[in-house]
Amino acid sequence: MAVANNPVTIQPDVEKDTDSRPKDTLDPGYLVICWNDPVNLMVYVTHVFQVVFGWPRQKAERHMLEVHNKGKSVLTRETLERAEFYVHRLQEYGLQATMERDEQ
Amino acid sequence: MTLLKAEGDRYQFGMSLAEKTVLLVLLDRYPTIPLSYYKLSKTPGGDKEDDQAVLEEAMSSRRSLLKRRVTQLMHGEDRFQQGQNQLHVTFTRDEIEWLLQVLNDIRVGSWIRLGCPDCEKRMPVMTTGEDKLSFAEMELAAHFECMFLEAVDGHVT
Repeated sequence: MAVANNPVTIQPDVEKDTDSRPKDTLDPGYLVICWNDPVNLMVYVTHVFQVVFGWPRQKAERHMLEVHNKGKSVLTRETLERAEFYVHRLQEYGLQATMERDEQ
Repeated sequence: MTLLKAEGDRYQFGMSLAEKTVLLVLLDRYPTIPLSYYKLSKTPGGDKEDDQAVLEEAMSSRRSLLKRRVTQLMHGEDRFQQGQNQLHVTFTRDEIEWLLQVLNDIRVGSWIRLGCPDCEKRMPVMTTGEDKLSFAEMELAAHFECMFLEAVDGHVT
């Protein structure tokens, strides 16, 4: 037992917590993809990319045109949580966005 | 509907009584997109059913919140002020984002009801009154979207 006059220092637990957070959560291996559809206006899609990602108009337009011309555009590569966040934000605006595991 | 002035993050629009009526009727239709329209992933496998259920639940509560916000916004006292020749209404940038989300939901939902036509290639054949209404709602929602986008981004032609 420790004596009252003799303070004891308790070391913090420095073991890595590997159980509570799955590896996937921290792995930036998820692609956020926007898919083309013939209904969303091009200016609207550009606007949404600017708002959701904070991109300048030029970059937003580049991705919008890629969606329009190639059928889809990979917008960003993120962790599982961030990818889900962006997909939800894009879907709030009515865009067809999904996240896919980057197998490369 | 026209932009009268923009100061900071506040945008004042002018609109006729007819435009106000159409806008309120349109916004009242929200939400129109079926929840099953949204998919988290296109890749098969994994916990897709669970993920889909969570996604739809989250989307449903976000829609309820947005519906409440927009209803309060548009039906608030003194929201529309009578100007000399038209009604005046002011929205903040955040409020315009809410309106854009709602209007686009109405546009996409109407398009889904029409069978997801590619209007650039071929106009939908509208045989019923319901189809005609859906088409009108789709185009009117786009009209208001463009007005708001022009105000905040200034590049809609």
